[in-house]
Amino acid sequence: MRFLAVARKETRQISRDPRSLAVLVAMPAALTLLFGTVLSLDVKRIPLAVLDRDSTSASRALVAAMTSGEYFALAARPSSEEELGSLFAAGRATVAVVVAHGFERELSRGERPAVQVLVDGSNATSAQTALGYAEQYLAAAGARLAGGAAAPSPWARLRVLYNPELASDRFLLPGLMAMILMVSATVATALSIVRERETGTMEQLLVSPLSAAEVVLGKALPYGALSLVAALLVMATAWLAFGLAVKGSLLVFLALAALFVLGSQALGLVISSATRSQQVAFQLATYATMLPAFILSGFVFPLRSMPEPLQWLAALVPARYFVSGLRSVVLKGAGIDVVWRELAALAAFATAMLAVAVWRLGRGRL
Amino acid sequence: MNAPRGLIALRGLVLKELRQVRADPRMIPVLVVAPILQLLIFGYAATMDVTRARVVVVDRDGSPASRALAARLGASDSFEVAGRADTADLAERRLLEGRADLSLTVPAGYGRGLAAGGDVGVQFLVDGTESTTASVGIAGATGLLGALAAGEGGGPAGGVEVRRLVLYNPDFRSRFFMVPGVLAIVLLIVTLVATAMAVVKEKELGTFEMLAVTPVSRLTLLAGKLLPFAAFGLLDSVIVLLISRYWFDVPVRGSVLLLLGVAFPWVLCTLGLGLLVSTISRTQQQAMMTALFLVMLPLIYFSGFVFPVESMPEAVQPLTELDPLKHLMLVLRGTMLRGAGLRELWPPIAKLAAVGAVTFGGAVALFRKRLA
Repeated sequence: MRFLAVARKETRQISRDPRSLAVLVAMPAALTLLFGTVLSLDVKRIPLAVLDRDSTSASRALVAAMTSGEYFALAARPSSEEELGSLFAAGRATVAVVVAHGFERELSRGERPAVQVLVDGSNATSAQTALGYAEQYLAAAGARLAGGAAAPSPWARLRVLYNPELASDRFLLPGLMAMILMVSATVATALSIVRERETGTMEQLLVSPLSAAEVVLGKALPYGALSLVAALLVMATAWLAFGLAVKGSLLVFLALAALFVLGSQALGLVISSATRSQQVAFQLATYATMLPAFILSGFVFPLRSMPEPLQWLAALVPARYFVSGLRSVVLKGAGIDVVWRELAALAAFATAMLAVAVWRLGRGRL
Repeated sequence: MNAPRGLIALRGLVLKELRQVRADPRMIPVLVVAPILQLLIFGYAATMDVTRARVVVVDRDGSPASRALAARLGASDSFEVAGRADTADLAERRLLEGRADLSLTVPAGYGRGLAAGGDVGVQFLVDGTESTTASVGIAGATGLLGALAAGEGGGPAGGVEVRRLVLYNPDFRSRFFMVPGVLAIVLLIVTLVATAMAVVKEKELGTFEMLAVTPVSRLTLLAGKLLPFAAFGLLDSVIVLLISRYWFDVPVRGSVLLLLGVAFPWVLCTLGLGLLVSTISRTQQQAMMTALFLVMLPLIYFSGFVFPVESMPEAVQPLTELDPLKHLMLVLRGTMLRGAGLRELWPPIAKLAAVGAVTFGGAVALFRKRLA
C-alpha cells in the first residue's frame, strides 16, 4: 500500500501545475472537437462540369437529375472540349458529363443515345464513388426519360446495419480518439519521470525503501485516473458535438479505455527509462505513438489493404485493438462476448510494457 | 561598406550553424533520414484501396441458380466469399464480430421463381461501420444484380448508354494521390521542427544573447540561422521527389521546374512558422508541443490530405484557405498527376506565396520586437 503514498505525492505535484493538468485532461477533448469537424471521407458536392451539345429539354432534364442530390455541384459549363480539359487540369472539375448533339432526337426514336462521363481519377477513392453515383443517376434519369423501364428481376434489397447513413465521421471518430488519448497519456507519463530525473528528485525516490513496482504503480495511478477522465471527456465531446453515442455497454467502453490508457502509460514509462532529457523523451514519445496510432491503427487506412509486413507491425500497435474495440462497442453495440479479443490484446500489451518498466527500474535506470 | 562585412558575418553564421548540425548526432537523422523513412512507411501504408468486401452467403434455396449467384459473387473483383451461414441471424452475428462486411441471403424459391420469369429478389445486409468498404460493397452488389437482371430479364435496363472515361489514374491507384500529400507533410515536419528547435535551443542555452550582443545585425543573424535549414528543406524536397518518382512510380506529368519552384514559397511558410513557434516558446519542450499540436496537426487535418475539403462543413471551408499545406498539395497533385502548369495552378501558387509572405514577415517582425 506504500504506492498510495507515491500516488498522493504525484497527485499533489500535478495539482500544483495547472497548465499540465489542463493539457492532460482538457486538451484531448479540445482536439477531438477541433479535428472532428473536418473528419469526413464522405464524397459530397463533387464539382461537376457539363458540356451540353444538345441543349434540349431532355438533355437539360438529364443534367438537372445529376445536380438534384447533394453529391454533385454544378461548377462550370464549358463550351468546348479544350475548355473542359483545362478545367480538369486545374482541378476545378472532378466529374464531367458530355451530352452529344442529337441526344433528344435519338431518345425519342427509341435508340439508346450515349452519354459520356469523364472522371478525374487522381483521388482514387472519391473518384470511384463519384463515378458510381454519376452512372447510377444518369442510368436512372435516362430510363425515366425513355418512358420508364420495367422493374428488373432479380432485384436486390439492401439494408445497412450499425451506420445506415454510411457517415464516415462515425467510423473515423474512434480512430481520432485513440490517437489523441495515446499521445497525451504516453507523453505525460514519460515526461513526469524524466522531469524527476532532470531535477534530481528521482534519486530520492529510489533510495527510499520503496520497491520498483511501487514507484511505477504510484506514478501510473494518478495519471491513469486523469487519462480516464480525459477519455470520458473525449467520448462526451464526440456524443454532444457529433452525435456519437455509445450503443453498447458503457462499462465495456470504460474497460477498453482503462486498459488502453494503462498500456500507453506503461509505454511512456519504458520510454522514460531509455532517455535522459525531457526533450528526447518528448520526441521519442510522439514518434512512438503518433505515427503508429495514425497510420497503423486502421483509423483511416484500412489495414487489410496494407502490405503484409506492415500488417504484422500493426499487430503490435495497441491503438489498433482500441480502435476496433471502440467501433464494435460504440457503433455496433457489441458486448464483451465480441470484444474480449481486443480486451485481451490490450491487457497483454499493458502487462508486457509494465513488466519492462519495472525491470528497467529495478536496474536503476528509470 | 557595410554589405561585405554583413556577408562575411552571414557566412560565418551559416558555417557555425552547419557545424552545430554536424556536432549534434540527432540532427542528421532528423533532417535527412526521418523524411525518407516517413515517406517510405507512409507510401506503403497510406493506401485507401479497398480490398474485396467479405461476404457471408446464406443460401436458403440451394438451387443451381442460387449457387451460380454465389459463385458469380465470389468471382467478381469486389467480393470474396468468407464462408456460409445457415440462418440470417448467424450471418448478422458474423457482421457484429467484424468477420464479414456483408451478407447475402437468397430466399427459398429463388431458382424456381427466376426460371418462371417471376419477380424474385435477394437480400444484402451491409455492415456500415467502415463507410468506405461499405460503399464499395453496396456498389458492387447493386452492379452485379443489375447486370444479372439485364442479362436474364432481357433488353437494356436504361434508356441511355453511359460511357465512362477515367482520366489521369485509370487504375484508381490511391497511392498516386497519397504520395504527393505525404511529400508535402514530410517537408513540413522537417523544416518546421528543425527551425523551431534550432532557435529555441540557443535561447534555452543562453547563447542567443551572446549572438545578439555581437555587432552583427538582427537580420543577418536571422538569415544565418534560417538559410541552412532552408537549404536542408530544398535538399529534402529533391530526395523525396526522386523517391516518389522512381520508387513509388508516381508520375510527374507536369514541369519539374514548377515543382522545384513552388518549394521556395513553401519553405518561406515553414521557416516563418518555425520562427513564430520559437519566438513564442521559451523551452524546446514548449516549442515541440506548440509545433506539433498547434501548427502541424491542424495544418495536416485542414489541408485535404485525407479528408476532402469539399466534405467539410461549409463554415469551416474558408478557413482552409489559410492553410499553406492545402495550397501546396493542390500544386503538387496538379503538377504530378494532371500535368497542370502555371496557367491552371496560379491561384494556389499565389495564395501560397501570400501566406508565406505574411507568415514570414510577421514572424520576422515579432522576432525583432521580442529580441529588442
